[in-house]
Amino acid sequence: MNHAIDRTRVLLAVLLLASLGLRGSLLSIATDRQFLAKNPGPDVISREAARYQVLVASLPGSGMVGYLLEEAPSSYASLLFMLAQYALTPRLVVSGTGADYVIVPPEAGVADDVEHGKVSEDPRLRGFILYERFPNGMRVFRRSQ
Amino acid sequence: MILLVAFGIVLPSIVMYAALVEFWIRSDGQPRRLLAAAVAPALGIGAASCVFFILLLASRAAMVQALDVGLWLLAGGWLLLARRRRPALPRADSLTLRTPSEWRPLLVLTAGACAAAVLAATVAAWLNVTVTPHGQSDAIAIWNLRARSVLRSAPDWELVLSPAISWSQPDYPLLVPLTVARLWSYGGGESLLVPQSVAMLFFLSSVVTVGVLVGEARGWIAGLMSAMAVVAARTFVFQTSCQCADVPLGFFVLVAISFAVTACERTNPAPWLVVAGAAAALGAWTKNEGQLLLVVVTLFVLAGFPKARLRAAGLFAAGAALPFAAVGLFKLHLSPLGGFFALQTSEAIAGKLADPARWTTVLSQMWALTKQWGGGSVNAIAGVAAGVALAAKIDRVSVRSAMLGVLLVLAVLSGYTMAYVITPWPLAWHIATSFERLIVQLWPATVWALFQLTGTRRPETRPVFGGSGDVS
Repeated sequence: MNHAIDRTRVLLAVLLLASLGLRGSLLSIATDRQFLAKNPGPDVISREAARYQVLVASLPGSGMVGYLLEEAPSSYASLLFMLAQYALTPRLVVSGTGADYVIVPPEAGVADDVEHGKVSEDPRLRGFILYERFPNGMRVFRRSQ
Repeated sequence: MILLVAFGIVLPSIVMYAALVEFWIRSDGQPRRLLAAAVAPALGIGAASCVFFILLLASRAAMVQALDVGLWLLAGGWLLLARRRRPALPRADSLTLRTPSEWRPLLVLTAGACAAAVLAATVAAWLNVTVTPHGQSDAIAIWNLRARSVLRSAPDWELVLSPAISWSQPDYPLLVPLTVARLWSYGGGESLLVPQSVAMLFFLSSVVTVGVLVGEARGWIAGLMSAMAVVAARTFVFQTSCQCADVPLGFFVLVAISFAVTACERTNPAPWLVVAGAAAALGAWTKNEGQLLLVVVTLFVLAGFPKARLRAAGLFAAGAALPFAAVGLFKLHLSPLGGFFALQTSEAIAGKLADPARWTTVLSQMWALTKQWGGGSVNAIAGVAAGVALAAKIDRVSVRSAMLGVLLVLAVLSGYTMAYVITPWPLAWHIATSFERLIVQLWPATVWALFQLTGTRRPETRPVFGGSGDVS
């Protein structure tokens, strides 16, 4: 009699734990499968980090590199800034224009009217010349000598 | 490339497995192959990250990989020699643990349910990894960023640990990033598969280790249920895809606490203490929170062996030596000051500790988040506690083990609570963005402790090596 009660209690515990685990996992599998079916390409991080790869040849191999953010950056702009640090490491990508090279992403709001080698008229880039412009809208400015 | 990465994982895992089996045989008379197989991969790659770090500091980057392989092969060869020199094991029947009978149909059903739950959790975690292949924001801002930086800069430690990128937490220890960087160096590229596999390895190691520890001590039905309980918490499962250091730290918390508590129950605690020391120090090498684990478990070992304090401390320290050396070198020579103490004065800290309003805020917010923890419609902690209550079979040893385990978990949690009270960052933000992960760190150890209250105790078999295999 005692054995039967013990076994029933353990059986209930097994069913409870199995249902807890399986329910959560199966729901999540369904959600993620749906997401992957709707978004077949590379994930957003891979996609956005890739836009910085083209800059590698135009930047020093290490050391500080500036990054121009909007005055009040959105959370998406902050994410892109973080991805620049992730993609371009071991360069130390820091906010602002304190370094000799500065990355200017399209969302920084700098007018795209400067010629190669010319000084930018944007007050945030005073003393910097356009060093490289890329088809994806990214630009690198370099401190003028 | 995949084969070379696998070689980088398997080599230290096999050496660690062989070392554990040999150590258990020599000190305990039992090989404990299943337990050794459960803990060896994670302990092995943890130890490998320490060796890799010391080699990076001591030699030229170009030579590090060859030295790393050479050292692990040397250790493996030495273990092989040691194995050949020792007398053969006694007959297998005298080594068998005395197993209380378990009702076979229930055992088979539990095994099936456990296999389904763990398989579903593994698939769910892996699918989530494919949705976020780089990991979540902390993995990108801290762990994988640092791994890339180590690999790409040779490493130039001033760049790798520069405070210029403050949110990369340059004072965080290096087990996870160095493990990833080491495996990338083996594979010759920066495959995303590496950090993903490391995350999965620690996840599965935690599940299997809980199951084997509980199974060997309390019977296999209890062991299989405990493995199911670990994956019943969605938050734990999905922290795996984060690729952060919390699931790895959770593994080391589990091993440090469970092995230290088990050591107190053994007539020969030596191997348990050595592994507990190694795990506690590897925890400190994983995250700053792990330093608290090391302090708590060290105090426990000192208090738990009043008649052999020095010997117990010596065994624990022997296990902790390598990762502790890595932590010491990192903290004393490389890591910038950071965190709680560098950003505020001691007066400010004392003022916060004496402020009842901060304690109220911290405790109420922690309680609110604990109630939601685990994901899904049923709180995972309550669900697992209900499972344990249903299956409970209490004896004196089980209550003692469970209480000691829960007390150690609560001691670590108390340290976390105090850290929140003195935090230099905005209080509500700090708790809201980190508490969930702190519970992840404590979850496998909590499940192990709770499941001491289930199943039937399996008596310890001793002494076996050359003896009769009697149960004392």
